[in-house]
Amino acid sequence: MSMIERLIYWVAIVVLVIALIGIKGNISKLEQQVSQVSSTQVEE
Amino acid sequence: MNPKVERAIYLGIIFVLAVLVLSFGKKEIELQKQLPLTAEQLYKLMGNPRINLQVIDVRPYEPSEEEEDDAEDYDFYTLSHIPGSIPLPDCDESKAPKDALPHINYYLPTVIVSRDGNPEIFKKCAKKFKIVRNLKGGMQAWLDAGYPTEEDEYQPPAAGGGGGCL
Repeated sequence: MSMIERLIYWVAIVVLVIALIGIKGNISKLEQQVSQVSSTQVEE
Repeated sequence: MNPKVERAIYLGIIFVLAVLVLSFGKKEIELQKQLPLTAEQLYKLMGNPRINLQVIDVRPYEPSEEEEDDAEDYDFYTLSHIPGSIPLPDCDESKAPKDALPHINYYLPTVIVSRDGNPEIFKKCAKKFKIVRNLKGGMQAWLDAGYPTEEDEYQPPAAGGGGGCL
């Protein structure tokens, strides 16, 4: 396997890991917001 | 290491990561569905030409024959609606004006506008649209905030038109 092929695989892996971290961050933010919204609805 | 084995390992890692990204993406969309959008947030989004968003109005399109005499007392699309919104009464295609149907895109990020942000009608719409959020407080919240409205019948966008609608 050539170095270029190996490099392409690593670039793909890094891009996917960054995307995963970004989405995970968004999900935890959204989960917090959803729990806030549901708690205010219960109070109402 | 055997190149075939090494390649298989790389492809396996990429496949697993891609599956995780897809499943997390789905979860993100599901969570967004549960979060209603405020009138202020919708106004800001509509003013941003880089964001492609459709607004679906699920209130009745026009007054019925009995309601026509005192139509001002009722709430329906032709009396006042958010500029650029598409009428789809009760989220039912059979009740929508014919001009509006070709402009409804079920795969575009969508905001549902009801009379008062009714979660029941939103649930019905959420089954049809892939990326969808409810307008908190519905049309009433939009009017209370004093944001612009349009009246009269639905006007399909002119061919080649673009940009923000506010």
